[in-house]
Amino acid sequence: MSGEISVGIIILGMALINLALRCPLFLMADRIRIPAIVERALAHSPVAVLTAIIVPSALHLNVAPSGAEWFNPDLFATIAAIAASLLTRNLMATIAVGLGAALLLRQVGWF
Amino acid sequence: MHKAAAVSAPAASNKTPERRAEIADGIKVTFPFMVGAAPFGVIFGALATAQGLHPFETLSLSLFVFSGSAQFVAISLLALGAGAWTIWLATLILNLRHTLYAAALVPYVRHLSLPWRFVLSAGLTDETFAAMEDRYRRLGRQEHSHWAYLTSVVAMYVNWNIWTSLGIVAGRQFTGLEDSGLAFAAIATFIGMVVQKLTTPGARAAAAIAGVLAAALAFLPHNLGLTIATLVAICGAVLVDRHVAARRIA
Repeated sequence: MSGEISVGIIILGMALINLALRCPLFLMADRIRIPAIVERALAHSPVAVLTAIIVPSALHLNVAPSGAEWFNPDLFATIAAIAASLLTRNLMATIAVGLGAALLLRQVGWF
Repeated sequence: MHKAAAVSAPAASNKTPERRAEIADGIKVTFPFMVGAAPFGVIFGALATAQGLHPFETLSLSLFVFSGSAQFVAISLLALGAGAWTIWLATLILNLRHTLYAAALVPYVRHLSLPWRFVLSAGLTDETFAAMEDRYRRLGRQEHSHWAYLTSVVAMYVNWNIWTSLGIVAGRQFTGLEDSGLAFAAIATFIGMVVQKLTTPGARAAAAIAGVLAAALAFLPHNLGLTIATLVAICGAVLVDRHVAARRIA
């Protein structure tokens, strides 16, 4: 799928990264103190990386790298999911609305 | 909230009933998260299979990576044709939060043996963290609390792999899933996670910078734009936090 490096190696690398993130603090339990600024950076990392994935995919920049596609089902589904999330504050409702919009908008034939 | 506080019986002589009670309560506090993870497991398995991942590769992700959001990011990026380094870096940045979780739970596991600490940290997902952090705050650390924690880890692990397997079976039954819009399930999950965190100026800055930069830099090869946008956004968020803190003091 991805060319040179096999999926197996990618999975192995991901598994090792996860262990490297989860285990050291437990294994060295009492000797470490995390500086406050690192703690803040860690806290913001999911928002940063996830938004950096969401926005280009909503604009179909991955399929049309030359420029954004403003009229596509995923952009409308993204807006619907954001609205659902703001209104309900509920992850399941957000997924239901977003996924529902993405599936249905492909069926109606506007795009 | 939970009646399980009664579990903290004082220095009982017989260990087995206490352990059993801890295991039962571990299941009880983890169960809602197991239900919540079920649809994700199915969608993940189905989507990865529909995208052309071998069932063995798909199940390996759940067995060895055991991180829902990182697994969805991996298959989303694989679909874009991203290379290994992009996926590894995204996994690293996305799951940096697990280091925070570990830091928060360290006081409760410090006394355990090394193998115990390894297993409990290797299985530290968002869900188990949420269940255990809450439980330790309510009940404190009891003599056998780690049995509840272990139960939570094992329950989430078995649960996640069962639902992934069912998803793989579903993915092999239906064709054309990759064009149906099902892939948006992952994006919708990310949206829900982000929006719920946009409560502070720092988090809002992180989202704004990451979104604008990732779109502006999408033309760069190897998904470099994603990496740059993420790192700049994290720095920007930290600066905004410091600015806000300084204003509060002044």
